[in-house]
Amino acid sequence: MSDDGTPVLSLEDVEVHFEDKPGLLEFGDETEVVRAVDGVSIDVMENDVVTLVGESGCGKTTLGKTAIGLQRPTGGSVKYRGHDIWDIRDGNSDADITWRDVRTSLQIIHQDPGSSLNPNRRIQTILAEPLKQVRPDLGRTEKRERILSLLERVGMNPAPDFADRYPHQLSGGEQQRVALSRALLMNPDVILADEAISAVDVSLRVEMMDLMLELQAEFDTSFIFISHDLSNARYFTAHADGQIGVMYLGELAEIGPAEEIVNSPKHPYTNVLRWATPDLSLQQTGEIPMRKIDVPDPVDPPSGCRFHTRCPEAREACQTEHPPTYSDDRHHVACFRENEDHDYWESPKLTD
Amino acid sequence: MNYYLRRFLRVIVTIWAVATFTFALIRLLPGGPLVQLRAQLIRSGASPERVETLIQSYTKIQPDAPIYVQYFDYITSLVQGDLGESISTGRSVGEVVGGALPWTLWIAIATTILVFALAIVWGAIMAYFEGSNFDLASSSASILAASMPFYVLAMLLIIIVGYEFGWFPTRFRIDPNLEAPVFSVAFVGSALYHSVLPIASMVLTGAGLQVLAMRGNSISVLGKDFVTVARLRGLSDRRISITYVARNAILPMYTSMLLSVGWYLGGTVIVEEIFTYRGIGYYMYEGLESRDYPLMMGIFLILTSTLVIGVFVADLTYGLVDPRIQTGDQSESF
Repeated sequence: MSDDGTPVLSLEDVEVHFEDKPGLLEFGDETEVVRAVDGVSIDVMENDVVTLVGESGCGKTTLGKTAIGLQRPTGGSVKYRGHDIWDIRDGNSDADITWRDVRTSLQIIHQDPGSSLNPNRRIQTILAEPLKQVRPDLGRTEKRERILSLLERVGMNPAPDFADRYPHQLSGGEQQRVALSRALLMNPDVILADEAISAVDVSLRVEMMDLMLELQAEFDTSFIFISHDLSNARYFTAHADGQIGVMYLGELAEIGPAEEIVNSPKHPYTNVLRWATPDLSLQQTGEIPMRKIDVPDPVDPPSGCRFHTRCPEAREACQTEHPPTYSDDRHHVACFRENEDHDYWESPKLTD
Repeated sequence: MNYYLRRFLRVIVTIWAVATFTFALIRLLPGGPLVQLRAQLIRSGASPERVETLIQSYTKIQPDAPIYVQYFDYITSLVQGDLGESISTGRSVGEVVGGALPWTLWIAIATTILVFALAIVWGAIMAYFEGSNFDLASSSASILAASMPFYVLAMLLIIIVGYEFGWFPTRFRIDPNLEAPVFSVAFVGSALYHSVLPIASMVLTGAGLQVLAMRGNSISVLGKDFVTVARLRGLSDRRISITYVARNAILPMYTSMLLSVGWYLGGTVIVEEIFTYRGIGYYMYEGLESRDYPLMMGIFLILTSTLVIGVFVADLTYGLVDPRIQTGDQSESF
């Protein structure tokens, strides 16, 4: 595959709103709209790593699912090699890419490995499925050999023994390796790792991340890595020279190279995340760099900058105006503090 | 000890316990069958010696023998398949049961199969259209069906489908005027025709709960990540619904299906009485009315044994059906 500068996957101004229709027995007929993702643009290059961090409910999983075509965006577009995947699906695209190609190119590893493997199939059968699809020309023994060598590669020895087991006979880490192998066997361009290491024992997380990084080079794939742990995100992203995207209430607050995000965060919210990650905070956990703990309701997000209700730096300008994205090479931030001439600096500080 | 052997011994012990229970029942109930029987025979004008002989042949009781000898004789004849003599029909219990059992088994097994076929298909469709009006209507109908006793539905069916419209016969196993050899087309046709209402009354009420169970199972499997992954690979919906969802959703119902055979066998007692369908349930009811204790005991033993064997089969085969369960101590399916 050539690295000609076109992103494998590019999200442009993606918007995902969920309508929450009232039930039969609920009064009123107002449809509530949950704005899970709002106006997010991200590019994923070949052999790239894009990590999404943020607190629960910030829309990182929804964004990830939208990126790999599991969730249809209500606005904006998701482009695979320059073509809108939903146009391809609906047959409105003149691209020479079929929906089937798109489907095999974008894969997923879930958080809960126990749920992601069919309990009634042996590991061998589970891994043979994607091979059957991608390489129908392979014979039985060839398939078996490829599966065994991959199992060995992901550190499951003796492979023949593991291949004949059922998922419940494996540990969580082993199950996750099988899920990773299954995704890789599809020969995908992008794998969404949705909290893929959160369920793995803490002592094995680094090992699992290393394995994913090694296999990334071998299988020539990109990762969208979702995590709520900034230190894991930093480890994984820094080793692949990728980007960390910080999400807050459905919006991308800041995105940039791992070390920059961690060491010199520009958005106050990133600073909060950094404070909340014990491994990263240099000093003893001091004063919380946030005015309020509670997350606002995504059904009715705050006006202006969505973080202004909690932001320690918030001024009155933040209440009314939505901050644009300020870019500096690879580092993009949605905060007025990046613009030295902005009215922000003139307006009074918000106090509760 | 070997797991299968242990399970098998448990079956034997259970059946033996039931047999012992019936033995005790027939002797210990105050004003029980013996007194009743004696009074009945004396009223019919038999001489006292004749009464004693009759009682002995009916109940296998020799009043002068010590209780353990009686018990031994009773168990021995049971093991030999001798269930005693039916008082009301004048035939041996084994003969009555043998002639009636196939009919009842047909009702119970056909009911079970239909209930689960209906439940699996319907429940799966409901799960796929979760939250739709179809789902809502089906759920309501299922709850309604599940809360209606089958004998009430049986009555309704007799009144509406049987008498008002005259579509189906409301009694007997086959047309009493039919003179066709057993297993001829006419015979089987008539038998099927006559069993429609009894089976329908149990299927329509029994399926309700199972439909809801299947719906719940399917919804939970649909939410599993491996289904998402299969979908992500671009597999067809049909393939996913059959090989991924259905199989995993049906598994938990396997045990309840085998247990249901026993439950529906018990249900035939009332259904067969309502439809005058001469199966073992009908004879059980007749035995009850005419105080034909040997007949009742015999049928009671048969019904219990069937249920116990159903559980046994469920236990033995569950490990084959679901690979997660390995035969061992934790694999008891009830």
